[in-house]
Amino acid sequence: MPLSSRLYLLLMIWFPAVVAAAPQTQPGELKDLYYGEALYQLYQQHYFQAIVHLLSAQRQGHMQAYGDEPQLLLGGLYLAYGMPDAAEGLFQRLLNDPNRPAIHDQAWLQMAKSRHRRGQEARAAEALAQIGTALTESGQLERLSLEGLVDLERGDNQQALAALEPITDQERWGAYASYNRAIALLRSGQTKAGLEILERLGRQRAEDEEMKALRDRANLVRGYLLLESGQAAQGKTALERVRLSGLATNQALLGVGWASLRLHDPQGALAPWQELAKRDARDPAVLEVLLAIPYALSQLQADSQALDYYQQAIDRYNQEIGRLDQALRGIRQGRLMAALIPDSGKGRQAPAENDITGLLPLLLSKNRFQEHLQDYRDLVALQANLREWVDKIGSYRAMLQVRQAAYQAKLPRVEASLSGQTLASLEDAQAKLQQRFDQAKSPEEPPFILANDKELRLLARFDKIDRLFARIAPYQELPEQHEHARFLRGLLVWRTVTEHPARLWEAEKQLRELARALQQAHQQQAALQRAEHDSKGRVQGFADRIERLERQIPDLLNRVQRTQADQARLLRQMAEQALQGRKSLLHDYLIQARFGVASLLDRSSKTEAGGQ
Amino acid sequence: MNRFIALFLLLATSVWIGAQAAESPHKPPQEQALDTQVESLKKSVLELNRELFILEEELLFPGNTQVSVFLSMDVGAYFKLDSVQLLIDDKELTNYLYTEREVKALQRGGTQRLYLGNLKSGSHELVAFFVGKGPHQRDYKRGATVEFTKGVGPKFIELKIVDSESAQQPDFTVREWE
Repeated sequence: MPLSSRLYLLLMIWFPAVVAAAPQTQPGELKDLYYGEALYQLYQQHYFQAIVHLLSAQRQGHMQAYGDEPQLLLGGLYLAYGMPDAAEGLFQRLLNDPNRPAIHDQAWLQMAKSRHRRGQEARAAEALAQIGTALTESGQLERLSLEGLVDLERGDNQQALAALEPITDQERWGAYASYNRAIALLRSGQTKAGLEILERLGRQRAEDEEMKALRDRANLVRGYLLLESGQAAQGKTALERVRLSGLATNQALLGVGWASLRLHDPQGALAPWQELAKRDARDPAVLEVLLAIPYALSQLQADSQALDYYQQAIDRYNQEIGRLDQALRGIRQGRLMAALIPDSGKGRQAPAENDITGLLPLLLSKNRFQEHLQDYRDLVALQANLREWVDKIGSYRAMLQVRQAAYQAKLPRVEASLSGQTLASLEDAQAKLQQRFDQAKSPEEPPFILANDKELRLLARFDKIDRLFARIAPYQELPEQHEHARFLRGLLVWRTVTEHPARLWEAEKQLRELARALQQAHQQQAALQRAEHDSKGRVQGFADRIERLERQIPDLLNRVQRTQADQARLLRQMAEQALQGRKSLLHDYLIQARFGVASLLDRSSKTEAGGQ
Repeated sequence: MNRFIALFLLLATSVWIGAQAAESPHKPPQEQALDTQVESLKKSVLELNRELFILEEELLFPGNTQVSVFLSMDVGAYFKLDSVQLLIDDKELTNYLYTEREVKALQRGGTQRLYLGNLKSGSHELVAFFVGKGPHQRDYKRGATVEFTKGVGPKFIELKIVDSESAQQPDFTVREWE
């Protein structure tokens, strides 16, 4: 699809889709960042990136807030990226919901446009017939305009007129509709009415280049129609309204000359024609004027000058034929693609590619050629994209291997921690402590069960003293010492007994904390276990995905290369056909020029013979 | 002459579909087959790109550490954006210079993913400096700051340039998305 066509689609087909189907989506009311990101790519005409980002965001479950709008946007993007079948498939799916008439009508309008662009006029008409009344005002204008175009393509001029009639908008849509109505009227034989519309369009104020081009075309068509119907003066006036620099200028200059000639003013014809003759000979109007000038001169009886001009024409035609032959040779030698896409030859400049590049405007003026060239460019971009992924995916595989190695290094520690030995011994200890606590809590608690280490050591010393007393000093011998020892032991017992409830409370508190800590340890162990399991799965999952996707790339690269070669072959055929067509036109002109020379020489010899 | 006029009229009386008169869209079967081939290929490459794009994001920016900073613009009549400098925790992450085309895409409602990276859970500070031309074409530099908490899920932050009609000045806001 050509760049200009894509621009057209963006402005005339896609843009209304977003504006009309999503009127609530104005800048500043963003509901999803991913949707806005896709729009950012789209507004820069990065259609491929916009589609990839939209598809990825949809796959990841984003953009829910926009309902079907992302789908409509995606459909528009498919159209802009030269994927009409994908667009149609998507729009068809949007039609299943009759409860949302705006989406329904917009989707049918998009389908109608897609079908019309592909020349499927009957199917485009079917799609248009499904549209209800839910389109916006701009959408309705577009629908009527498209209806008119479809009817015109199907040769139904009356129906086209009926469709275009209600478009009274004074701006762009109105101007297009008026022009197309004029064409419908002319085709249906209502020449007068058609000419009136063209007259109005030809005098209309035009603010931008597109409207100026439309005005030029209206004047051009009207001028030639009047010229053909013998109204040369009016035709000339219309042709003189065409701008001096524009797409229609050369044809207008040629027409002004013919009008002057019709008005028996060959001298008047020469001025615009000589101006035209200086222009680029690749334009058919310039080729034509090379014959027209000597014809006008011969009308002025300036035979000698006419002969010179015929000779100049023959030289120019021969030159052009020579250039065409050279370009055709270049194309057959396989240099077309390097000329069309200079960087496609990997920086290598084809030696004589100027022979071809000089003729590119002739080839690029054909929409179909441009479409295939754009497809070829897209294929080049796809190839670059796939090669980039080959490099990237290799790095990702390496990165994953590094991550896996790092994980393996940490694995023994993780496994040790997960083996549960430490935790089990801690749990044993906890059970023992609990048992001791339960004993301490029972009414027949063992003595000193909650005594601390220091107290236990003191008790042991008292036992030792008692044993010593029993062996070497009975009570009678050392009563004071015995009493002192008893008193001290009594103090210790008193302390352990009176502090027992507080110690019990403290022990219970600590046991609770221990239980909590052990529970946390269990949770962490489970989390670690899950992480270990997930990590194995995740790494493996990434590795599998990388392998699966990597496997697809070489096959796709092969397909891209094969299709690229097919596309290049087709472009070569189209280029050869176009150049051969031009060559045959030049041969016709050459014959006419030679015939002109012969006629003049004949007239001259007859004059000379008459004079003698 | 008449032949040229007739030929011209035949070509000229084609319908008008916008920037140019339409050429017949009917294509020979060979071209149609190639179109189908190209479209099918584009579809396959797009699907592969979708999968690779997601894989890349999940691999390089896992959800638990992922942070995305987006930039959007509402109208932008009081500010012509030249560049944005972005810092998180005093570390410069990007200093992005805008082309005319990118600014227009933002003005029309597009949102740019200015930064995609990884951050640990916890509190962080983001600072953005917006550089460009303000009202009356004067050089203009303004900053916006936000403290945010990075949790376990991906974090999305939107920097937004809006027109303050009352102050006749641009305004710069930061919004955290859920």
